[in-house]
Amino acid sequence: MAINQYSKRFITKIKKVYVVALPILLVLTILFNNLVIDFYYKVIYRNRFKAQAEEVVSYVELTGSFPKTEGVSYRPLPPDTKPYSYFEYHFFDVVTVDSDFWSILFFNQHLNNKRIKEFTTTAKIKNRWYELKITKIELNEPGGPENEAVWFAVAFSLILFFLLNWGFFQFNLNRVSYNLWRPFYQNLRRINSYHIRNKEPLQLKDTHIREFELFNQAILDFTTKTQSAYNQLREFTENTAHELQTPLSILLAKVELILKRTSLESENRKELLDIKKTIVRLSGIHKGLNLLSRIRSIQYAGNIEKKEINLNELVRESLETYEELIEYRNLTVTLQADTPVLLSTNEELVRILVDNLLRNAVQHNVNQGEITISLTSRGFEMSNTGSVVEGRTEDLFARYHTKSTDNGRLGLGLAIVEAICETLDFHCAYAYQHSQHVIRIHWQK
Amino acid sequence: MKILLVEDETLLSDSIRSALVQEGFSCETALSFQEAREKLADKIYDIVVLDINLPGGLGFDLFGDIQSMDSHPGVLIISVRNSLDDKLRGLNLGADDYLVKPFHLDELLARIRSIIRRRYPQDSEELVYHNLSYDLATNQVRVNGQELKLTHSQLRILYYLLVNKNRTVSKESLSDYVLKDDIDMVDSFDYIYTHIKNLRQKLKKEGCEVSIVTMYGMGYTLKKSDGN
Repeated sequence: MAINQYSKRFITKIKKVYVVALPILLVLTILFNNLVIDFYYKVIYRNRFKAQAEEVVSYVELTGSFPKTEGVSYRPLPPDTKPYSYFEYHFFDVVTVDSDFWSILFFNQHLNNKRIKEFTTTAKIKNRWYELKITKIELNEPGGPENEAVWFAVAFSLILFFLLNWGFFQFNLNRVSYNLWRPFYQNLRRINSYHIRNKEPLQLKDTHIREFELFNQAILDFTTKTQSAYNQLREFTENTAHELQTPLSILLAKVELILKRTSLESENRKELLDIKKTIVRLSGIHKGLNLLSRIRSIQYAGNIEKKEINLNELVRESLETYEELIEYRNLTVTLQADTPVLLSTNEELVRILVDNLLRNAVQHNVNQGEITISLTSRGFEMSNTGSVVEGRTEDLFARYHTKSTDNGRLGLGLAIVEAICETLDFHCAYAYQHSQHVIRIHWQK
Repeated sequence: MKILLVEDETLLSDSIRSALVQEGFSCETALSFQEAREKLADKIYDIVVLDINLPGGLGFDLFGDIQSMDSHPGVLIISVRNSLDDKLRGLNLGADDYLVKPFHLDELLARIRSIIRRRYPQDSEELVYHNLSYDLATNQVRVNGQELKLTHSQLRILYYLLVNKNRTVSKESLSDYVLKDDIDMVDSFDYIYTHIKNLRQKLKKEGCEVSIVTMYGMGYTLKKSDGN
């Protein structure tokens, strides 16, 4: 699969968001900056000046004389005036600056403005009313109020900018993890539910993100290769299983033909019988392999025929099959089943499963041993006495895969049980409890 | 009895053929689908032993030719195919029996004989040997007309010995016939030995003239007792 040419890198996807978001944030900050400057002049700066002016007024009222300072003027008022006070703020140019492009750009004109603040109030001195006018002229120069306002505004704007940015980042993080990672998680779910036995190859969703696409491609390559290797192996096993049969048949027939000859010496006959025994053993292993490969191919095909079956009946039938062997070995069989267990599943496979387990329980039992089968609606359990299994018991299934004892049939038998459980989505477990071998099969109701 | 053996593997075909000829059947072989078709059109057979995987076609497709024959021969399928579907398909098409390869020649012969018995019922559906009789329809064993209660395995042992009477049956083929797939679940020789011991006792108790004789190193034979 070629990488989609429209797929972008993950970082690009995130960058795109910021390209839109940052100008908006900047505009917001600039607007806020103006608000802050406005607030500074109208509230903070005004109040400070007012406090200075009030100090002057209280000095006047206390001493009864007017200070000879610049910016303080007074005039007497008629005696019946009511007291008042107001605040005025004037802008006017003191220095004329050429209003060319550069001075506009660098606020030259504005920076060289002169502004006059006036605080007008009334004061009563020696029973006479006076109007006091306190004026302050300011030039924009270092250390002046303009500078302070700028610092003030910059500090607040920065805080706002960081807050907005942080908020946006949080929001974006959620959005990114939701939108951009969503296809990733969808694909992850697909990979998790994928099994190499499936007939269908793994299919992944287009993510439109380069890194994810690269990763998907690597995974697809990997699974395709593994799947084809698995299929080759599966087919090989199937073919081998089939092709072994004919030579085995020929061997068996030939040996039997020779054995039918009466002229045979008894020593030769014994050798031939050994050969025949080996052939029979081989054909037993082969039958198991054949069954295993057939289960695998049912698994591979994926459509498992299901029908309602009565498990109690099935177990009873299976017990009947081994009745004589059980009798021969003097085994005590207990079947615990309170209610009929009905299960919708593949009859043939469950039959093989039950047969294999029972066969296993009979074969690896001791004489005068016990077999207990208990059936419930959630699963069934088969326990039997038998020789103690040495070493770790959890990997009994795996152990027999590698170490085929006596004749190879047991290892295969358990492999078959496992394969059937896998095919039918049963869960199977082995335990050694109360000196009994217990195999539990569970299923979802 | 004329048998047509349809089997593409020459070596196997030869062996089966000689076994059949030894048993007194007249046997012809066909090594391919086409050859089988020609032979079926040419001659009349009583039994067709049919392989499924053939060069040139599937054995299943020969059933049309077989059924159109006047003699309606019995069909025994021998195949490597072991699935239930294939078995059902074969039996539904009209096969009398289905034998999975690899098989024992004795088993094949026994199956052929049972087909012949079913197809061409003789005077009685019984295997009789002196005062021992085996009712094939009901699987009952009688000694002097008195019914003998036998287990399933004992019945199979006796049947196998009766079919191969006066011949030595090896322990292997006997245990293979009786236990089949369960052969390695128990010590099969011991199993056979136990059952034969019980069978002998039962036969002797009922005063049967026939007894199971052990041929050392070779197997068992059903023989008339020497009178003691």
